[in-house]
Amino acid sequence: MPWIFRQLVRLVVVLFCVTLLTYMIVNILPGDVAIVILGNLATPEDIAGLRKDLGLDRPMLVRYFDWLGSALSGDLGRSYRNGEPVVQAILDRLPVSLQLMVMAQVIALGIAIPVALLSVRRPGGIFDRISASAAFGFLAMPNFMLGIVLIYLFSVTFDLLPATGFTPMSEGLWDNFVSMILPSMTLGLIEWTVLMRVLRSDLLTTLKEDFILLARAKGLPPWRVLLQHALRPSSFTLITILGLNIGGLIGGAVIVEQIFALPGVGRLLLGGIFNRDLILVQGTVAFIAVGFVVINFLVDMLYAVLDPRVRHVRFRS
Amino acid sequence: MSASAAKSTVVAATRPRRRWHWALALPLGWLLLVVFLAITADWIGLPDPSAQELILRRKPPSAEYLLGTDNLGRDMLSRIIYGARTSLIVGICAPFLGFLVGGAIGMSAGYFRGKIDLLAVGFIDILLAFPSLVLALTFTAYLGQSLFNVTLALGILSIPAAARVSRANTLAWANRDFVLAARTIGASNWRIITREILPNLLPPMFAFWLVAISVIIVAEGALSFLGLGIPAPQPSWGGMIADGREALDVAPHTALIPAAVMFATVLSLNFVGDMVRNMVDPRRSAL
Amino acid sequence: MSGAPLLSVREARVGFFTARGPLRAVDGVSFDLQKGQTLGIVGESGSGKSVLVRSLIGLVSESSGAEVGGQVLFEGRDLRALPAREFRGVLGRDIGVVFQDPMTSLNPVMKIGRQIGEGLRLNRGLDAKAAAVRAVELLTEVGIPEAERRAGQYPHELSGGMRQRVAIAIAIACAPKLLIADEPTTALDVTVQRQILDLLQREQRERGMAMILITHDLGVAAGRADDIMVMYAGRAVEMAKTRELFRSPRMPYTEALLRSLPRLTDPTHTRLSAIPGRPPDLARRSGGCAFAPRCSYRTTRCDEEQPVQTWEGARGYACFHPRGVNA
Repeated sequence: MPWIFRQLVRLVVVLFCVTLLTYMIVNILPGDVAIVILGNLATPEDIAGLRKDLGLDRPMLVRYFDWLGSALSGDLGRSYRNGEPVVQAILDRLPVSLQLMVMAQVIALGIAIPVALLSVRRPGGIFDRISASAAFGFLAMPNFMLGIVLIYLFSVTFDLLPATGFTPMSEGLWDNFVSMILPSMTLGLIEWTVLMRVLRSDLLTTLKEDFILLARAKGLPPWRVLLQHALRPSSFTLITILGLNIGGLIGGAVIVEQIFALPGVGRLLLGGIFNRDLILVQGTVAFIAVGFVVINFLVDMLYAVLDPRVRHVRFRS
Repeated sequence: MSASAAKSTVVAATRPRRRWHWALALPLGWLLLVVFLAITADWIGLPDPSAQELILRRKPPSAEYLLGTDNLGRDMLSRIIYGARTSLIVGICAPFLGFLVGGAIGMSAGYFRGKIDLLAVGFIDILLAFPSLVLALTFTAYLGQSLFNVTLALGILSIPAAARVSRANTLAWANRDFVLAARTIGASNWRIITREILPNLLPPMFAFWLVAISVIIVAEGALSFLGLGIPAPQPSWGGMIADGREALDVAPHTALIPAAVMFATVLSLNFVGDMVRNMVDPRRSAL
Repeated sequence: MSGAPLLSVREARVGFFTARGPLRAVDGVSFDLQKGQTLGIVGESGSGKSVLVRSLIGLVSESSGAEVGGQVLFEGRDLRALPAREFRGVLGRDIGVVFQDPMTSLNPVMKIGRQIGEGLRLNRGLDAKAAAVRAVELLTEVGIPEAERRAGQYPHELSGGMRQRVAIAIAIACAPKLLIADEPTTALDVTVQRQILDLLQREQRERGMAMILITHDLGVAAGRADDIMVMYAGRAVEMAKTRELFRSPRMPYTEALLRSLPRLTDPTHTRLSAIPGRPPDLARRSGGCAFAPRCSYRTTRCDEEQPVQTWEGARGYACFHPRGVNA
């Protein structure tokens, strides 16, 4: 399969560039790392010593390949602050972030798909217009703002859900679920708007196709025409957008984890930034970027599986 | 069989076309108000947005403090108006910066194709491979927090989008007959780009810029909310919301008022942006 | 005509709302179709023939933004008055449809066997397994080799001609009483057009179905239709037994259509005559005969007055200056 091979090569190249860029941002931006770590009051000797310890006196590319080499063997270094291995720190917090994003995505799709299906039954009808306005409104809500509003509504005013704090799965699935509702709603309630718009517009295009007429001519009831014939061929852009939006979702997760005090990767990154914990930041950013690239790659593959035409036709670069 | 051409019933009149003018007044009016206040903030007798009055902290809106006071007893109205200034400066300048760089990259990629295109697309892909907020965080964290650096970081973030828009449009225009015609009469590349392509590129870029403003305002808000944007005493909507979050139970107005202002502004910008985009590109109006 | 017709259409009308104003795509068309007979509906693109037929079977309807009028009786039942559920039953069981372009009329992401079996399961109550078996039988019947393997493939894996055969298999799956073929060969290679038409005709004869064959090509309808209805600008301008229509067209438009057909009796390299002008803009109708601007027999009356259908026994036409009649 030359196509999949080319995609893999591309993936590797992108991963290489992404990690290199991460390394560069963290390492060449102004402010000597050693000074950043030691503070402005450090003596020149201290700085020189630390630079040597860190290997900062060598050329950056050399250092990058060193770092890449150990990264490939699963070592992203240790935190300056507490000496914890960065990989371990990330893996400890990853489940929380993943749970948050999966739940958010489920909420988003759970709203977007039914709303899109209902609104194309009568384009321009009352439901369509109300849902379009709602989507327009939610789209204009920054997630940090929606998070605050949700806390105000559900925790402060009605006292239904916890405002902050995280219950790990090990301490009860239900409590864990409850503690994740508001955070994932914060992301999902914004995300659905984009998905709904894309799906709605693709559905409208699909519904004009002859094969939809044929399905109706077979005597299929409208809902079956929608679900069995229109939905799947209309979902390809949706899947692409799902992949692309994961970037936004990751960014959103950073904010939401901060608002709701969830011990996720985003909060780890923020802590690293506030603490000037360079190795930690470098490892976390690289991890997030690599994860994002790989997920997008997988989404592209999924696309090929879902659309039988792609396997034959869309063998493009 | 029988048939007779019956007098056809008159088909009902066409459906009324959407009327935009009144619907546009509200968002446009709000934006004008925000811009006006942000510009004239120094001359309309506002209290110092950084002046603390600790005895009067978290006061609800009153005649003296129209929008109340925040955690440190600072006047919310004044802070919101000065915050608008921050939001607008970043929101307008950052995409403009991105569009200068990204526009140039995209135009040369779309016009010259070949290796330049490959390089540009690769560059765009790499930048897009980062979740944008994470990239912005990292940039501001290491550049240091200041209005300029936040603008710079968010400007860099808007490069890929700008490059994509300009590349796609350049590709579309570069093969039009009038460009080919210009080439056959021996016009230089520079002349073709500046005279034939650039003018056609401006409307979609402008429409995109409008959309980018709201995106960047939100991004600036997010950075400031996380405490990595505009440094502390300087008011910023995102920072105000973050401050207010701590007193959500006792003084919800400290978070909800800046949130509402930000929401109204972003909503208005999206509204106006959508309409401009529909005017520029009628094909998109369906979405 | 004798006996109760299978399909009886009275004063069918379809209007659309467009950006340029209301548009009457079909304007008072009536016809009857007997069991087992074939009606050819002939007209240029935009003459309203597809819209007419789609409106009869509810594919163009109020819910899709059209204004639909007139009466449609199928086996004596008023289709438009039927509750949606019953109507879908009639549509699925008793009426089969083949569309123009098999590239677009088959669902690209559903296996062929399932697309054929779907109607059987819904309308004939077959279970999934029986439907799959029947689908393979149907594929064989419409002349697809290796039917079993094909049933598991997706439409894009088949050639255009094959796909149209699949479409026919779908249409005849539930043993309908009426088959509607909407330009079934227009999108196909010339070499397979004939095969598809022959297949349609064979199925029709063997199953005793009635058929509506929509085409812009009088030549296609010539050997296959019992009756022909010529449409122009949303109206039925002439209707006759096929032989009579070819022998002596009444309407100048039909005459012009016939002249644009190549004939074997013509010397080679004879120029075919095209009809001058363009079909009228349906959103800007004049008060007179729609064909008048392109008609060589036009008089002032044609511009001012709409000709009504004149009947000579079973054949009818809408013209003030019919050919072959001493007017």
